[in-house]
Amino acid sequence: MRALLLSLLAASWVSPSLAASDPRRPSGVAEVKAVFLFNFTKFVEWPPEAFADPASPLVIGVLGPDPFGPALDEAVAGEKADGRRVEVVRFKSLDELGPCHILFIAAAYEERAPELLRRLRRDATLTVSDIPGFTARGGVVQFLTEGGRVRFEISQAAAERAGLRVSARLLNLASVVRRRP
Amino acid sequence: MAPPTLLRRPLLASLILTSIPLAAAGGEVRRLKQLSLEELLDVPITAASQLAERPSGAPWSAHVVTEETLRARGYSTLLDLLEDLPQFEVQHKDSETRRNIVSVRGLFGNERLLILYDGVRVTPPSGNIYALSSQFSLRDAKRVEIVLGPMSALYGPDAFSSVINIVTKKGGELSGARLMGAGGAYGTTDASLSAGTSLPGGGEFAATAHRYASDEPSMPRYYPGDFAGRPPVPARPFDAGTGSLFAHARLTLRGFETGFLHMEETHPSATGVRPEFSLYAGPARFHTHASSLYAKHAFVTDDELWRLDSQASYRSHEIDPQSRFINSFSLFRDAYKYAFDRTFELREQLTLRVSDEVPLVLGLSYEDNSSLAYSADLDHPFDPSRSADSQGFLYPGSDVTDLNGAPLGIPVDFHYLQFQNLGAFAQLGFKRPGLSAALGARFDHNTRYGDAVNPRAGVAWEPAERLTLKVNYGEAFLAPSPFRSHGHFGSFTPTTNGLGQVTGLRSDFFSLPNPGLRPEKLREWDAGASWRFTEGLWGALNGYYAEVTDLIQDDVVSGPGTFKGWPIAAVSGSVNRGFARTHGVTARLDALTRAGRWALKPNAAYTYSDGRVDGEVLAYSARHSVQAGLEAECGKVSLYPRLVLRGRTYSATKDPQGRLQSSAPYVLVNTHLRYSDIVTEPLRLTAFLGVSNLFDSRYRNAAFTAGSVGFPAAPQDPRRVVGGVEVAF
Repeated sequence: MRALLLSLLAASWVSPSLAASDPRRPSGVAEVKAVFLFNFTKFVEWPPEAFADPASPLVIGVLGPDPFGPALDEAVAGEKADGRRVEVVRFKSLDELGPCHILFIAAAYEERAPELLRRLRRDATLTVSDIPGFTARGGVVQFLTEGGRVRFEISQAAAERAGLRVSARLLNLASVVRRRP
Repeated sequence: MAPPTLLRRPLLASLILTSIPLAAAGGEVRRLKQLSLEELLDVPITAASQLAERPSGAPWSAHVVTEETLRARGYSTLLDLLEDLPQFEVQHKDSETRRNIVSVRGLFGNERLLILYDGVRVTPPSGNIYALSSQFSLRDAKRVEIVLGPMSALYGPDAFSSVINIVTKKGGELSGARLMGAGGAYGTTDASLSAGTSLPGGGEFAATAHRYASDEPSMPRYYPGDFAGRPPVPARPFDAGTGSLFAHARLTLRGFETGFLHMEETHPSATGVRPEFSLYAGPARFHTHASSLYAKHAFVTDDELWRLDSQASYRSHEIDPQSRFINSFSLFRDAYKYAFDRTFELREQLTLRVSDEVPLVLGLSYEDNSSLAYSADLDHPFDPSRSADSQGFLYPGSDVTDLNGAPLGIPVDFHYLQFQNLGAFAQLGFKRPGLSAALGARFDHNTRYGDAVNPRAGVAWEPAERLTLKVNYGEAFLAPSPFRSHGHFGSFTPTTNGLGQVTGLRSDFFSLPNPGLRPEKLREWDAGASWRFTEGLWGALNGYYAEVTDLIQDDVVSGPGTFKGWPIAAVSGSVNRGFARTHGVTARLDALTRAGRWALKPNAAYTYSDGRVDGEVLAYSARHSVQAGLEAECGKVSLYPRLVLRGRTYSATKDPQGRLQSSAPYVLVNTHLRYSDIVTEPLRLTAFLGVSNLFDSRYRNAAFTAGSVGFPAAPQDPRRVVGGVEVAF
């Protein structure tokens, strides 16, 4: 058994070489999350009053230190959501925070998350974060890392409160769906 | 036990095998956008996420251990975690009072660590004595932050070798309850309950209780040679049970937070001592309590240009009055102990964002401490509600009358100490992509030990995308604790004439106070480099060099002496050993890879550590250590086997021939198996099984108790299997 464990430990350092075309090829967490953020635009429906006019862009905001680097800009480059341009806006502080349809809240705002979510409670904003307990505190989507993969939780209650309709497909793929506030 | 040589080949092999292909970032996003949501959920993430968990951009040498890692690896208490951290070493079951002793970068002593929960200190002031055992629960932890090296520049004079901050979950993060129950070998029971909720108005409340109890292994069965001795008193059943309690509650409301934390720990007062000299019996227990009550407030302006953190805390540490030794020093009578520390602290910290790249931290702290130093042996329990002088304590063995009818009883000295510490600190930071630096200093005025200034500086630089370099320098100051400066014990024996009449007193042994102890001062340099070889393989190298002046060591026997006018054959006590140097280096590899459906995260670290004090090897730190583990996860099942290999470790005690005692090299393998979310509705059920000392090795850790009274090396536990379930609802 000892030899088996030691062999397993040594063997684990031998990485299988995965072809570039393999969907299971490892990728950076920032890239995966950035693509998820963009994908949310396809599976969430905002109320019409969330946009000033039919030509208004769909805005993805990032509050605090940006964990995505260039990946988020690359994810939305040249893309449209329901016929609207998708823009990325970065807010350095709460003071600068402006309207957006998706707001990624950086982990640096962990302490202030409850206050911030209270402020955004009735806005038609899909709030997203890595902050632990984010959906339990009133956020809509929380990224998790499980089994070496990115997962997400959704609070359907928070989405409904914000007037957002989340598609059944997205709800089905969530690790946890919170239906109670 | 496997000889260490068996490990060489696989570990060497592990050092040379790397092959995860690289992915160009821009093309990578385009590739990911082609995937369906289902496929995106199946994309394994690379070590970049592991890197993100490490404060690689911070200038200090540090570890951050997330909740995910704590759970996957089965770390239930801080002690479990420290065992696996490079540059940390734990000697288990070797001290009567401290139970386990932690060394960091070659310097031993729990008192040199500063442990905080949510930024509030829980270890005693001035490094006073405490047991480091199962009471430091991680059950409500979401993150553990460990900074290596002196951090006096921010945390005060006794942040000597490391600062450990356990960050716990707020109510909203728990949002429900989690009940854990486990049981296993040697009558071990381990149970905890955490619950939390969000409150109307934006508040959050969380509470956790964690209780551990174990009869512990009957060591005479596993180490018959070590436990062959018999005390010169009627035999009692072997009893070495341990227990601990952790209770924590925190309430947050907007910028305010208040919390309460209580910890208790109990273990045999015979720990590490040969059975012929100390009783392993029910009443012979060392039991400590620690409580903290705190209130904090954080004010942050909307533009986030400045932030003011205010904190007030009251903390108490106490040796339970029922704690007692029953040993040869007390002539196998009950020898009770008592001590307390009470601290009130105020702390203000202002963080200014001078510019986007330059944060400035300014702070003030004030501590008011009152302590009763570790008492001598007492023949009845101390009553904390009464003054010491009114309780009629006499030194053991002195309660006799001489041949002239004069009573010789000597009242016990109690040393009450009242001291204050006023600190002012400043730290200027600089942070831009690829470069961060910090320069800070703290001035402390201590009413016992005068003034001290401790600077700290560090730089982290990323000269290339995958390479980070760090250089640090820091100083620290550790005032002698009341335990070391004023703690004392021993007993007298009447001397008689030929007619058997009492003529006076003498003593074979006394450990005496040393109020003349000088503070220890530490200067430490460290440098490190971390390199991401591929997206799935990350390596790091860290080296340190430290100098300590006036290193304090306990229980140094100095020869014959006198106490209260009577002769003593052997006197011991804490002394300043002199100038010490320690240096070392750690090479570490972490990887993330896959084997079929299994996600594998192997890690391995080799540490070389060496040090000398007055030309003699520094105790409680092996020259060679390997810590390695493999996180393996497949769906709901995770497994974490880990091993610790220690080379020969010297203790501070010597054998009758004057040679330093030591523990032989050993390999220890532990493992943790977890099956998560067996059911998810209406509650989430997880089962786990932990096995420590998987191969049931007989091994020892370095001894702590001086002279022939202690084991030459402390026998360690045989295999222990503990399993349990966790229910979240």
